[in-house]
Amino acid sequence: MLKVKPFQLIILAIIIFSVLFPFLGQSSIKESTHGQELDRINIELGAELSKEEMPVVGFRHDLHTQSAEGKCTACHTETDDGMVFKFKRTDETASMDFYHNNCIACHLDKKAANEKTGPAAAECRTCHTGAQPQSTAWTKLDFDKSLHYVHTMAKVIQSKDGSTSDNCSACHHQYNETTKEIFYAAGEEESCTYCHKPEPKDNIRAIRQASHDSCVKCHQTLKTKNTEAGPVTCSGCHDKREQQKIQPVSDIPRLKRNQPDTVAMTGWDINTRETNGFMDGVAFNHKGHETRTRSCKACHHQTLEKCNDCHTPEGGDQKGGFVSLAQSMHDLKSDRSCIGCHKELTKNADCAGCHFQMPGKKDGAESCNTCHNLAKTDLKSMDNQAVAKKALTDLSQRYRQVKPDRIPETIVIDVLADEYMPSQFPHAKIVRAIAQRVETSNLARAFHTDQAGLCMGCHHNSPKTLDPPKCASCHSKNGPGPDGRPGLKGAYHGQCITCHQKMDVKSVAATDCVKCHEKKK
Amino acid sequence: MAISRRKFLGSLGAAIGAGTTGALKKAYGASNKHFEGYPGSAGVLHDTTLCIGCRKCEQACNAVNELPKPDTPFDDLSVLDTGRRTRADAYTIVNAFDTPGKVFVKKQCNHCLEPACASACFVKAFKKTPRGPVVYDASLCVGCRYCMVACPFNIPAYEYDNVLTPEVTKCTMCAPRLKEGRLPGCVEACPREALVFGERKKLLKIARARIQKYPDQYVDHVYGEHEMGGTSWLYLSGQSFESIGMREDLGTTSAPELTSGPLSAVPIVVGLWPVLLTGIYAISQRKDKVAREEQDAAVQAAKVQVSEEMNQKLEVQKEKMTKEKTAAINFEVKKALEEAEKEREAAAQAVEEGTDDPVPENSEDNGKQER
Repeated sequence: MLKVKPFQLIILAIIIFSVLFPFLGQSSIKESTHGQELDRINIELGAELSKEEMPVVGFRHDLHTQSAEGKCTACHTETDDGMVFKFKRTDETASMDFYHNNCIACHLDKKAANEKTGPAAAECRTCHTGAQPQSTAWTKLDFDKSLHYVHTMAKVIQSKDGSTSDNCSACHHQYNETTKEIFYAAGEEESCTYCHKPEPKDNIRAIRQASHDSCVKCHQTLKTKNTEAGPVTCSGCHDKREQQKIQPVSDIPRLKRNQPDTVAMTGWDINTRETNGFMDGVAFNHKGHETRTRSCKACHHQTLEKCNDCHTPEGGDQKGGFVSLAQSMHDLKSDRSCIGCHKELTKNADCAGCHFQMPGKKDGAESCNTCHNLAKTDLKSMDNQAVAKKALTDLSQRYRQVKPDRIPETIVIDVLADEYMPSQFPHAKIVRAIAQRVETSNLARAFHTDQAGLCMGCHHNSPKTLDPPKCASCHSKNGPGPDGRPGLKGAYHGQCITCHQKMDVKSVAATDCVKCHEKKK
Repeated sequence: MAISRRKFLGSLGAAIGAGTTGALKKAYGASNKHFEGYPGSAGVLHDTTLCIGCRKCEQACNAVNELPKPDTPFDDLSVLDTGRRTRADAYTIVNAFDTPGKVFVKKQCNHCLEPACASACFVKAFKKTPRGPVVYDASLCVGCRYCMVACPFNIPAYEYDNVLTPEVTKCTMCAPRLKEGRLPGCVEACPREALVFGERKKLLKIARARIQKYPDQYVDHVYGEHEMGGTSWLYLSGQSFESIGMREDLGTTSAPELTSGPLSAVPIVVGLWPVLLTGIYAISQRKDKVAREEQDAAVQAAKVQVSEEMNQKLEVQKEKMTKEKTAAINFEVKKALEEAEKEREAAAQAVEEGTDDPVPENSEDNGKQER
């Protein structure tokens, strides 16, 4: 009989183990380097504080919150002012030893208690994994009107100035340069990001720091009081999937900041009223735009002051980034300018059918006058707001319909009929479909002066008329012109197919030939 | 002037090197001269953003070229997703690509300005016509299919089914129809005008105008303007060309330009090779001959030397023998004399004693004495 001595067994076991698991701790390395963690905070001291320049520590915050069973005090110090979101200290700068001692001590304690924990000493690279790319799931939280409204209505958020009607002062503040204190000024609230920029500046905290200090601290304090509050974990605010779970509030009342309903926007200084060399004023529906934007920042990107405070007519002001008033309103590439934003809206399925096919088309004076509709003389002699209000009312009421009998019901397109039968084009049906989309949109009704204008969507480049020329007047039956102008076949198919594609008309497939013209027998 | 052997050989080598490389490659770098296509040559602009994937072009191509009826009818659009390539019985095919949104791309011969197939063909069965099409002459083709290897776009196909007279097949840009003043079949059939036929230079202008008019709609690049030295077929796309199955790694140098260097070395090699080899052969032959002669001479000399040595030895031996013989004779003579003396003494003694018996040998001994 084969007799095995105990030490032989041990050696055999060691060999088998080392073959199966060649590197001790490999599983923990894998877990910490896959780089898609949303709760990753890079701990970097800089070369001065860390004697050895080891790679950055990718600290998993939510993992530690979980491990501490939500007890923030395990790592954070609590003061009278609430929690301090620094690791085990209040204000001091942390050193390498500070981190090493505190992190490893805790890990060892947990290990002694036989709990799952992080690495101890001499496992440097388990923590020092180097900077990893940001998780794709991480998203900046957009504190929009809806979230703002939820906070204004929360009873647990109480004003700091003792006001009972609102709780604005709970969050909004301003900074007094001379007394070095923050204070609240009613009616002058602004967006956080106007002062708290992406990077800290002077003694103003970066928006990241400021929002974590304020939002998370408040949420955390409320939670300790067993009150319902917002998230305290990283993913609670920054995970795209978590954000989508937040139900937006519909029908939000207007923000109370004494903003006007209508504005008469002018290039000239309203006090001097020197109007020479300026365009007519623009009646701007401030109230209307408030309901259609996510937050004030959609237009007021730096401040809630008037546009021309920074964007001067000449654009010579550094405050306005040397962007002139006209540029700021007409820049096609900017989503904050009037035309840039409106142009973006024409990409909606309801609009793109016509608008895609006429990029950057201008009708000259008519186009300008749609917005520049406040005569200088009126603005000089009357109340500006009243003038603007009247102009906006006129604008919303000017849309005129075409008498239905002027719109042909069906048009037979037979000029190219060859392989297929002539097409029975349902003209009136299409006109009605387009008109219905325009007439139910306030924006579209304001900019489309009458139903006849809608004809221009297809009858493009022809003067506005109810008797437009045939397509074949410009598009040759013999194919594309040398200038690249589509031939008649290309023009017909292009017009119909492109419009259907852009307006998401799924009922007529581009390749379903017989849907529009039957096959000849 | 003193010039070392080493220096001389070095400068000779440098001169030969410079001469040959200069002959291989023309100095294009310093000039703006490069082939931009025949003036007025035609092309087709394919705007992939307009293509709806109806396969009318495939159908028209099939009819115009009198190709066999395909297995799946042309109104079956499911084949668009199968990643097809051109075949002997399909000069053009349309493939669908799932980029953001579905994009359809027509594939056929691009009719390069300087075609790789034509430069690879050693019987000149392919030819770029000044009108635009790259045409194929089956009567010259030997069926080596080098053209299929050379084509960077994987276009030429081969009639493997045709056992006796197989041909290479590819799109002809409907060259016969162009001669009649008609449009290529596919262009005529395209309902969307996603294919526009015209002078290549004008098509480039149209393409650029479209990019300018719809900057968000197009990638700012006309594929085929410079690819492989330029092609007659030009493409516009809303997605990266890579993502719609078109190679972006081809560079802008035409295939003939890339291969002209090595190929121009062929005559030199062909001309000089026999001379070089014959020379080497002659030299090695002469070397052998000299060696053989030297060997013969050495053998002869050795022979002579050996025989002389032998003769000498023989002489010495002869002399020695003669001496020994003489010595032996002398010894014998002496011995005989002594014996004769003894006999005489004995006889004399006998005489003296009275015995007078004659001895038979006496007569012989006497005879010896007499000599």
